[in-house]
Amino acid sequence: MSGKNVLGRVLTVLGAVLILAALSLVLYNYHHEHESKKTMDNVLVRLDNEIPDEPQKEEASPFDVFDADDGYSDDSTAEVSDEDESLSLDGDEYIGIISLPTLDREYPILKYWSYPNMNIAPCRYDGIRAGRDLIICGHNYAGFFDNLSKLNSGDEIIFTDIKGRKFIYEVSYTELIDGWDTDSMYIGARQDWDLTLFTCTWSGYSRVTVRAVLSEQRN
Amino acid sequence: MTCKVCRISCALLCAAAVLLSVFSCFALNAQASDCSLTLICKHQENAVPNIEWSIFRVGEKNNMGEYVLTGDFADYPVSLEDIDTASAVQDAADTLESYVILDNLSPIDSAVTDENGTAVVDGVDVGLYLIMGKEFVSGETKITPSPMLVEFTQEQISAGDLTVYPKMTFETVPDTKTKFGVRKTWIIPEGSADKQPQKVVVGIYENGELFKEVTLDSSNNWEYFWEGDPSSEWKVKEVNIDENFTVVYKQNETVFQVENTFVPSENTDSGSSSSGSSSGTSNTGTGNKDKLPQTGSLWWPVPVAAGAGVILIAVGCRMSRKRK
Repeated sequence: MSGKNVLGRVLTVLGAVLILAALSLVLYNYHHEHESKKTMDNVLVRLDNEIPDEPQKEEASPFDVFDADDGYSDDSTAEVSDEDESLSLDGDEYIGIISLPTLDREYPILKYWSYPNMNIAPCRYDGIRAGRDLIICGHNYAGFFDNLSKLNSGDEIIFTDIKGRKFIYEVSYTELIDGWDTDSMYIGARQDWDLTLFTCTWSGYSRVTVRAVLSEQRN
Repeated sequence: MTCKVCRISCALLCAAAVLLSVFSCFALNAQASDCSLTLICKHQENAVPNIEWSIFRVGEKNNMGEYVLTGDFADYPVSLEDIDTASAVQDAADTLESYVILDNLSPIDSAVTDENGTAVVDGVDVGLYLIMGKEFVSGETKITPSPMLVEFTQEQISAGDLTVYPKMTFETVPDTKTKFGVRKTWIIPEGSADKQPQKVVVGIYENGELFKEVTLDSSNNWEYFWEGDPSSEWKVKEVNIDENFTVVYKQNETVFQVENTFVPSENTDSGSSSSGSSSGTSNTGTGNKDKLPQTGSLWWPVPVAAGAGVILIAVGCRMSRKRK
């Protein structure tokens, strides 16, 4: 057997191994995304049951007078210095549910982001709703934020907090942000946008970023 | 001879003393550029007499053009950095007024409004001044003057005509005891949530005397309520404010708010990101703050590996076929 023949066989085997590796990665990704989606759907059902359909009326506090001039008068509660209230499920804290009616999608939102958490559901990356700088990150897994780029200006995003209050946002614009450009993710908070959703592009290099402004609050 | 020298020496010394006295008089006159300030108190066009007003020089602008507290006020944990809105200025004035009352600080000057509602105080110079009036009850009405923070510039002092129109609130004093409340709030920049103390002690003062000390923490929702005489002057003061925190005392009729803001020192690792989010929340995510989270499956190796595999197989097959 000549050297060229051996080399040819080695290259063929190596090529087959690479194709198998690619196939394995595809299978792994689909399996992982499928499992994550199953987990998220399960959490969504449970969280939906925990959140009241009608928001509970809060008793007026004598200290509300101090919250009226805090710059966030659209909010009835003292939340500027407080984090969004959360609800615990299986030890994980959730701040509410995000609905995208135009995409017919709903997601539970975890209070803290981490890579294990992002396998369960989209997570709060930073900010708070009352501070009008809430940023939510989610994987681009099938059933997660994979269709985020299909949102258009004017599309509704509904955030339901754990008290059942609904906050209606309207998509104002979308943009692509470099994965290393953290500062750009925060630019325009409270002025150009009140809510941001983002996920990776297919390459993972950039972030599809959807900016939305609060248009209505339904208590 | 000795006597003559003594006389000359005495004469020279006397002449020097006279010169020094004259010089120092001129020097004093040059420094005493301060002037008087007229306060005019009117409510619905009616003069409000008998209000005692006091002025305190609380600060000045430093070389950077920023306000800084000076003198008796220098050590108070009150920030003047962000007093660029009317409400922020009022909050700072309310806070400094609480310290004046509870720490019994001496004013530069005081005066009581006359029948025309006018009071004149002296000793005003360039700087930032706290102008505050003494709360008092007239019949069934309680008059509460609002403290003010006013900056006087060199131009205003040179012009010499300084007049301010203080605000006052008028409320009817109820016969029965009134429920008062105090709440503690925190403004903690992101990444510093662990710096928030677990509890604080707040002193409640009635007419400048300690009425009660209460502990506020999460178990009482950082709130405390009490019943007291509505005609008294009520104030609150936080005891032993933690280092790196500034304080703002807010008051609205019967409720008080003690607001602490965490200000990281240069030596304190605040752990904050470059975002500068102002909402006071903490992001306890475990990801790399310099890079946005990787929010997707690893797909890019698939076409690379598959493409390389196809090419390798093609090349390998071609080499094997050529050989045959």
